[in-house]
Amino acid sequence: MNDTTVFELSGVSYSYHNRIVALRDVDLTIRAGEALVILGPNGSGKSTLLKILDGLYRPTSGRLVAFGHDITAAADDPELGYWLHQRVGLVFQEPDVQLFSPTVFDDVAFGPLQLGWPSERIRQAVATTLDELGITHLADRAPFELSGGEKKRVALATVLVMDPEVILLDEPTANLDPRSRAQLIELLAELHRRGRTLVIATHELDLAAALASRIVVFGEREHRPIAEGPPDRILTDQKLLIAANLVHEHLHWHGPIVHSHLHWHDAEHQHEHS
Amino acid sequence: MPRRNFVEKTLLDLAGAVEHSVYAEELARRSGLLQRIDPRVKVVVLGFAILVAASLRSWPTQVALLTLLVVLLVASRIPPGAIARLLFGLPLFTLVVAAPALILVPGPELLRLPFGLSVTTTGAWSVLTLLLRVTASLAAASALVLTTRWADLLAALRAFRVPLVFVLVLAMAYRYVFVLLELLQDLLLARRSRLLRRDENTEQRRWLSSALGVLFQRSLRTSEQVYLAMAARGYRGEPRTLRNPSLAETDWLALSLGSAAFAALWLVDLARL
Repeated sequence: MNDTTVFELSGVSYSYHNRIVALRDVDLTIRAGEALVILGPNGSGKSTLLKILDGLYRPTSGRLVAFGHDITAAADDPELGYWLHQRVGLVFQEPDVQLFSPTVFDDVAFGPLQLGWPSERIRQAVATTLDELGITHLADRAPFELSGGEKKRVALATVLVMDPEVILLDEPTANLDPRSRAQLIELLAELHRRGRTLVIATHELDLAAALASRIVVFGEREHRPIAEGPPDRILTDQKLLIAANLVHEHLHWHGPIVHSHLHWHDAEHQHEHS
Repeated sequence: MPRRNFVEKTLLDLAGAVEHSVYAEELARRSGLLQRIDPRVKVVVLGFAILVAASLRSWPTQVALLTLLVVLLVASRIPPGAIARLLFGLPLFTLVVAAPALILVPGPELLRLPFGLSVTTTGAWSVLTLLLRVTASLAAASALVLTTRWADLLAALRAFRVPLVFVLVLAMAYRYVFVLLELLQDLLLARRSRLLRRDENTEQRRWLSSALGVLFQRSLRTSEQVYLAMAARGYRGEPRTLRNPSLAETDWLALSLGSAAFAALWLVDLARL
């Protein structure tokens, strides 16, 4: 990680249809080479934040600077968006929306084609990316023939092939079986080791523990960061995690131990853990 | 096993369509004769075969054309069951449509029927000609569709300068129909798992209309997300494609031999008249 700032958000807010608040007055700095995990429950605005960082949504208010350029209007300015998408890649939560071409090869080649690369370079880049992710055998398959884990890998390949400096990932391990999940986490860790900036939106604590160099916690009512810091501090703060709806009081995690006790009660109560 | 209602039957048929599509892709991946030929060549040669099928007038040349197409299907490892369905299943619909011509076309009597009606020789020949034409055209179209992967077929259309937007819409419609069908099936199963009695047709229709509403909303949301996913990878409203590589020698050979064979049949047919 170095001190170069990749993204700088100042007072960024976003509302859907001017009614449903997704982000409220967010200030956030993301530095090159870090693996930043945006940790928050459903509806806290994580996915919206990623789409704003990728220039797909224009903030309702506030300012967004990427690589030293003001990109607040990137969603309405095709040239600015084009410039941004060469440097930032977004892996969507739902791989089906990202795999829209007839075959895996076509899907992975889609981005480079839009960037206007020469044909030979595209074929080479697609082959290399598929090989790196161990999915060369899927090249001629149609997306509907893929398993959930394979779809996630292909979705990641569609972004990696463009060699972006920053990769934004929305719930990357959602709906994956344990093996596919472990393979994907290892792959992301390797990308981070190679110097890519990762911004991962998730509500899964073990994913944050495995990958984060820094964690920002989003509040479900606040729709903005309510805490930030290194993983060892954030993930051991039970009060914060309970308040942010990231663990439940009666079924949660203490390092390697899952603490669980199911019971009926008619009043809220607190308890201590040793 | 409870009797299936009309909603379930429709959805099972849709699921069958998906299975058929997957099966067709599997056939297109087999190492048969036509599978080895460039899709562009197949579009030209088999398109020409359909034209020839529509033009032939004598039954020997029509039978010869049909035989040639069946040989191509067999050499392309299309299962005999699929070929039999093609030859004897679909043309039956043509027979139903064409049947009145057996009686209505004037000519020498072939078979006397009750009520003073009779099948004429001219009528029988015209129905037979139509049947052979339809069957041969279906065989040629099937030879193209069953031995060519959907993606390759679309690429071939692009090579023939079919507008890219048209091809993209076709590709995406084919892609997302599976996603939406999966959702529709999930909706059906979720409802069925909560059914405790046999439901009435009115309830089924009401449910189906609300399910279609859900499906419509979902397709709108999906289309927005797909557009964002395209924009995130640099899409600016202009479809782009990798240029198709040039044809191999075997493709040129297939193009020449295929076109020559079908053209020869046409010439023989013309000479017989």
